[in-house]
Amino acid sequence: MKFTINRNLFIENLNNVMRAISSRATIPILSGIKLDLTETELTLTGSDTDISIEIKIPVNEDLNVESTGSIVLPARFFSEIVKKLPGKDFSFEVKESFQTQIVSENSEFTINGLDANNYPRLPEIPDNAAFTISGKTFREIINETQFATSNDQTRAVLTGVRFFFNPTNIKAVATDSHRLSQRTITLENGPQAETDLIIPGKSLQELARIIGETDPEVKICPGDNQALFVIGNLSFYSRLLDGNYPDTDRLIPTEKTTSVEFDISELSSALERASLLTHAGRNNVVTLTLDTTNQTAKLSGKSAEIGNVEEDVSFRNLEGNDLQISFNPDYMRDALRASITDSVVMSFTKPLRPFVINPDKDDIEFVQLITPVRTY
Amino acid sequence: MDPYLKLQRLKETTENMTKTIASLENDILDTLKENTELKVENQLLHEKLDKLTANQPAPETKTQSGLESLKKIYDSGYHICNMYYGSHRDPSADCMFCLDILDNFGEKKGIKKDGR
Repeated sequence: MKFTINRNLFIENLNNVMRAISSRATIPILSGIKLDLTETELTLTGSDTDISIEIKIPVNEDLNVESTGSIVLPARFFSEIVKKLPGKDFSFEVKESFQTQIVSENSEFTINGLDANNYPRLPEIPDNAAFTISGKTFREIINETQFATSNDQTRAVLTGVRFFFNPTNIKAVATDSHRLSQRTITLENGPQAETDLIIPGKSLQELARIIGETDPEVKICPGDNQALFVIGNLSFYSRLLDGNYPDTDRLIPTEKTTSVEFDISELSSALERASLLTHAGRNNVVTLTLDTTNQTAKLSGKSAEIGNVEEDVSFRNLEGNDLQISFNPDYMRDALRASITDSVVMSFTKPLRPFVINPDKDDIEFVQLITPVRTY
Repeated sequence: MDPYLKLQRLKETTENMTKTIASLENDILDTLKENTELKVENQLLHEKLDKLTANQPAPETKTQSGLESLKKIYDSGYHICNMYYGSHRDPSADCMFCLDILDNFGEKKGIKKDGR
């Protein structure tokens, strides 16, 4: 196996493959990156068993093939070496007993590789149920839901986002039992058949990073326990979570007794100020007091050791019953960060029941739920 | 400090420690004894209670009492929802799934009855 390649082109692709490689790999060979060279393309593969990424670089003027073959190299070292090489191009040659020589200008590295035949094979996922969505839409829906997933590995299904891909829309729900985020986005041409997947939050985070600010097409191929996402020359394999995702539709209250509208930036800054104190104390709780007769909305927080804070927040359309409700300011901050409008409508039922945060525009289907905190 | 003094101090401390261990050992023994007694007593009381309740007719408001005991379990700090059933709950943060059961379980039953 021998080739020369443009270093920048290689690094760009290498960085994406590195996302899948964990420094604490459970199987030693997975701490490596697999390079596989044919007459037509160079394939880079990285995996941590939950996520696998495969990138194909086609042969062109930046990639010259002298002889084909494959090798596994220690990923961290290899990537650090390539990033620090002096020249514009480098040459790569596998010698006897998996010794790999990397040469760029005056610098020459020889590192020990591993037999690529021992590298696990990626699952083969048929693309008969595949469909394509816009990367921008996919990234948006990830950013609006993924933050609400649970970190508790003992109930694995809640660490994922549940996606319903329908012919006309995508619906995604995530909850950690204290808060919930559900977003529905209309699609122009979704999948033919309805597809229901629970995708791990961590995979989605990496996918969103790979999609980035551009708007590539994302091809989604659902498999039995893995799903494949194809973005340009990159194939992203993610484990799917199995198990019964709880019915979340019934959690969303349909009635309300009090509702109020807040400007996101104003409420966020008020919350940040209150959090200065509440983060210091043992109970991270802020209290919102809504008085409909006097038309006031007050946000307060205290820490037994340090002191307290109280501030009037400006609002619009406060109606219904008076209410005092306490909640974790971090959940509210996350909810506001995920919001895409300038202001949100909050609807409450009872002081100890989850309350709803909606965008102020009816045509955006985005529901967030936060469970209040009991204060005694 | 001279090494001999140090050694003496160390000896004293060790002796004190041995005494403390001995007393702790006694305390533990006492506690264990009390525990066994309480266990036996508890069992006897349970048997008595079972006899008493066996004689009484089954309570009529069954759903209500079931829901109430669930509420009690929830309030004492354990999940009652399908997802987390029986696991310890962070007492400061409510669980949506549990609240849903507490709020809607009775109601949903009612709806079903009306529908029939």
